[in-house]
Amino acid sequence: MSRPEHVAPPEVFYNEAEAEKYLTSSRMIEVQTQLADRCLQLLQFEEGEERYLLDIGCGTGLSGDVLTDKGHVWVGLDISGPMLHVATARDVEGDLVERDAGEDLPFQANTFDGAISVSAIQWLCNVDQTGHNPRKRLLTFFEGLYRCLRKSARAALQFYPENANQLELITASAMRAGFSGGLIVDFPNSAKAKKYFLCLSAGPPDPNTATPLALDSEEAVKSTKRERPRKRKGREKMGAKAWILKKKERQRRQGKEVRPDSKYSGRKRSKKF
Amino acid sequence: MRILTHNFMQCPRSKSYPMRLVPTEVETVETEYSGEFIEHMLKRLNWDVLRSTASELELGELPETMPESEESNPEAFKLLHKILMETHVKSGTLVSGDGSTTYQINNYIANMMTTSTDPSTSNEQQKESEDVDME
Repeated sequence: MSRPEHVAPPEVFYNEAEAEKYLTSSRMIEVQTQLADRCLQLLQFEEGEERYLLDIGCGTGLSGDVLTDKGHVWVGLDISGPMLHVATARDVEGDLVERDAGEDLPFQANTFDGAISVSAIQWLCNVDQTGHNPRKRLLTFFEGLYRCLRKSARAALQFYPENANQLELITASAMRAGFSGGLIVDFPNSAKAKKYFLCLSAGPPDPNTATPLALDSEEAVKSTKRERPRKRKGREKMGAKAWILKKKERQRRQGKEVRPDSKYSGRKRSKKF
Repeated sequence: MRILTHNFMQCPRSKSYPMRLVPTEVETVETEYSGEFIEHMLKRLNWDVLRSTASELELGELPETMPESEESNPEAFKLLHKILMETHVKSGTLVSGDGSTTYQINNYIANMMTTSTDPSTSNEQQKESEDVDME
């Protein structure tokens, strides 16, 4: 998979042509919308609550549209001017601010009820200018975010870490800034559908709300926890019922659409067929 | 940019608050009234800043003290909705409290970028990078 982070700095990469893609590509629109929806779900607001939210790396405002649909008022922050101009052309409801999130956020303390971010914060690990230090930029970002969130407000930040080091750097920076919370991995067994969400809470977590669960797993997956596969007890015969059920289970874990198991699963058809 | 957001913005360089809003083009876009949201936001607003901004932009006279609830002062809430939610600054400038930095608002977008626009930042950056080297 190609990584845009390797191509150019964000303010250069997201030019008019790139911004145009977010207008026309239905796949991009669908992915962005789904991720924003999941972020909002992780913020755990009650149905009908109208809140004041921050969208970091709002781009053309696709994620903001999800917030607007749920009745929230939002402020979008992005480093790319062309993306923001597309956003105004689309008549998004949110207020737009052009700013590098790796520098201090231009908001007062205790402003927002929550923050979301879709596929943006891995850009902060880039070194695009002399004097850019990812560790420092990430800490500045998280400290700024901590300041402008209200007490115990949550932030759900989806991102694409390039490797384990980056993942650790980002989580550690958040913890250093004072956030509590952790990483949630949706569809951990699928290469394509796997998504990382950093779920943070400004200050101690609210004891009244449960820890959000990762999709398709029994419990929230922690970044430190590692599961080792048990030793295999021989392989099932291909086409046998046990083999079919196992395969279906695996596809289910990958987030694919799979027919439910029934007493007919893996049975031979009768002779009339 | 809405007046609501202006009430929370501070200059990222000098950290001064409030920033003076000097609009050249203001638009009013009607939106659905939500008293609940206004009430939710009311306590975190800086009332004095909001009052002076509203009178500078000739948006209306707000009462001297913050209204307590929607029932006690429904007119003030209607006016607040108009000022906070429906008034958008299309273009203009934001001047930091100490007058040192000016930020442009263009096509509804507030440009708060502080690098590469001003030579003083590059100096600051150099200092920062030196600090990093020291570490």
